[in-house]
Amino acid sequence: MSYTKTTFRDNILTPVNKIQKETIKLNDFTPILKYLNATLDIHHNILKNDGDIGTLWNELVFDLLASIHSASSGFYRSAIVTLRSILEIGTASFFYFDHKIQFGIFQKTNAKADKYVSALINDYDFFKTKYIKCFYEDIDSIEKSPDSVSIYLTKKYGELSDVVHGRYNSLIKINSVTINYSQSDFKKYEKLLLSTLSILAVLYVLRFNDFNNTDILELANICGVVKL
Amino acid sequence: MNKIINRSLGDYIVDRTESLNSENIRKFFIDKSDDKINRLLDSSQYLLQGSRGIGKTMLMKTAEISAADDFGRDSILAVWVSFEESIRIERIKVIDSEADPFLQWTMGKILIEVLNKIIELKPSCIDTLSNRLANFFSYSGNSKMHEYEQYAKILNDYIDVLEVADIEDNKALSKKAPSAELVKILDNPASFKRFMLQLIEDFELERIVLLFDEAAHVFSSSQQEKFFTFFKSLIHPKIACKASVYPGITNYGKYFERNHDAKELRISWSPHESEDVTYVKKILKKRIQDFNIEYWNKLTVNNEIINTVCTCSNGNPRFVFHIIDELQNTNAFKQKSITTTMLINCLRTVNEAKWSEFITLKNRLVKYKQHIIEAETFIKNLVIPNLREWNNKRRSAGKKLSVGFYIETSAFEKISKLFDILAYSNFITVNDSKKSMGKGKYGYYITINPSLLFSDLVIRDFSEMNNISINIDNNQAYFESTSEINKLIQKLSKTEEEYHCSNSKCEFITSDISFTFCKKCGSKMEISEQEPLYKILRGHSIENLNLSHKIVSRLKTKFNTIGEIYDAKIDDIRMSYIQDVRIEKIKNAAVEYMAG
Repeated sequence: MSYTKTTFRDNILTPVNKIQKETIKLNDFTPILKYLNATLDIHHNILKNDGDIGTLWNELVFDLLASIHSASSGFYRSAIVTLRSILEIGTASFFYFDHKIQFGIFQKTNAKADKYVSALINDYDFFKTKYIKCFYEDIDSIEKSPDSVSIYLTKKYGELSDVVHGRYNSLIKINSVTINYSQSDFKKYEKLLLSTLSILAVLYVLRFNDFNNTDILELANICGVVKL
Repeated sequence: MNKIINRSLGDYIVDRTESLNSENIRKFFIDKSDDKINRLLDSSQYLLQGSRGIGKTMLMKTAEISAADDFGRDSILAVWVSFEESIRIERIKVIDSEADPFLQWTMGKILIEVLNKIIELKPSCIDTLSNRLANFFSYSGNSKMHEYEQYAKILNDYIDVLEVADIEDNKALSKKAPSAELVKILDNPASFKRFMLQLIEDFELERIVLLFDEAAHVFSSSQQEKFFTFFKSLIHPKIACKASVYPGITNYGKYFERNHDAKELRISWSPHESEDVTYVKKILKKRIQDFNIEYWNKLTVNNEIINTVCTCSNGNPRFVFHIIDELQNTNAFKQKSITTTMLINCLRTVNEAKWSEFITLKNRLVKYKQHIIEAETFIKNLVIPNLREWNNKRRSAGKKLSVGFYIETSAFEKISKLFDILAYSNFITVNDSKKSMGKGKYGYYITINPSLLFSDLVIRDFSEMNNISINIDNNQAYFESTSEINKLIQKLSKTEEEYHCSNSKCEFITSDISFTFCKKCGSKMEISEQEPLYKILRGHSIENLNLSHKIVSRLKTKFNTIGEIYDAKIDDIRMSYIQDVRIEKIKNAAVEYMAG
């Protein structure tokens, strides 16, 4: 093997593999895999309901696996950066489900992906109480407080954007570039992962009125904005 | 005990942990913070030692649940295995050196529990998720689950065959085994161990922890010996065995050495340690408050009452539940307050019931029959009256009181089985360390169960428990030369093993093991065969079952013996007044009777 191949293998792949082994050894993957599967259930159902919107979820699932893989390999910040992408694609998919013309323009003209979470909420009252009432009238009885879903979306988006834009406190290798397993960083990632998937599950359950899957409902309840 | 609709105190203070589901075990378990759960899950071999009803099963089941909760992180497979049904195997005679039915059953039972557990721990979403991921990556892993699920199916059938099929002797066993592969695995402990190690490798387990419950008590003496030899053979860094045993009455056999092949993990308790008394209080508080907070308030409004109840438990939750049961039976909780007199009367009733149960042990522990009969007399007619008189005198003189007695080492060793059986039944606690009794003699200190002390007025109130001493000067002592002890030694020395001549026409019998051949006719000597315990207990009347008179009288219209109930199918027992709930109670009573 050439020097460069050997270097790539021994000095990147092998140490990453070591981190992955440590991650597996020291963590219980039951919640991550259970809620990954619940998210794949959502993916499956959306594909069945609307093939076009389902294509966005294909991309979301790909990003989700990449994110989990990054985190298990010690690349915690990259893993969190990908979570913002997942949140954006997910929320956009629910917007486009009800805005087929906009989706058509987006798809056919390769329009700017400017349906940021904040833009959707500010411009379209996305998933505010009055928005939800159009397809789920009983939202008052299950939401934690008025507009709790959109408020949570804003908060979560802000949190993930801070990491994407490199807000100082979100940086994790300030002191040195030492790439190794970190229990605290992995746990922080896990929490962000589950809360991101949770809010997407809330959007799905409310928009599609699907209260039949207990794992999806359990996932949705994690963020605490509704009680299902 | 799942959802309780008609609430009964009995559902909250059940006698046996086996009657509780996982949710209630989690709810009711009180951690004594003595690291026992961690020990039960570590990689060492242990003998979990404690008297009946002290909480061994509760500890083991909690350890199993704790390991299951953390399985996703720790990959430690903990499996609780009970040998309650082992008595059924005694019906199969061993006529040659082919498959030993006891070992086959034991290994089969362990294996089925291990397989069931590993199958149970699989999260419900895993198969679907694995298929989806395999599609995404165009790659699928190599799961061995299916193979093990197949083993589990055929093993279940084989164990049924061993337990209930019509098999005369071990030669007929090989014809009944469902697969050649299974026969190979259960052929001997070495192949069984190889199979377990393969399973550990296939599932990449950290280790398997086997929690053997009722290993000693339920097995016959020869089975115990085989079991501990088998236990020893399983020792491996990836297989940890823990067995619950009773002090004194367990037979480990020639090849197993305690403290070398397995460490002892004792469940100890002292009425003089406030932490220990508080521990029992916490157990009661959790359960009784859950049932009815008013009951707990009644018990605790007077500290003397709750402290006396907890002290009289002698660290035995099962016994303290019986005291609470009796308080309810006598409507104590309906009175304005619970008085000391009410409590003492309850203690007397509960102790009498305990003595009655103790006597029935002579039906199971045949080797101890004579000792059981003498033990009751020893305690009731000698020790307690002497102790009461001793304390009366010392009380008047303002001196420290006693809660036990010393017995000279040589006397103890000559009648050790008597003390073993009393300790096993939680009437006494034996302090293992030899203490000086003066004049060059040494002995053991024996503490009497506080409930006997209170009910027989050896101790008059709780405050006296703070005025006791185990110093030799403050206690009575019994020696080999003490006339009652000497008589006891003479009586019990006649109950050794007997060997008789194999020639049916010769009457020579001896207890001397050195006689290989009969000194009268030269024929070979053999040990006097006792009827298998399985047969003895099966033949007992159903009146011996722990059931109400109403149920027993209805059962008598169809069944006579415990064996008939034990073998009966659910629908065979069904009759007017006896439906699902009572049928389960009846079957449990029969199983518990056979298992002891």
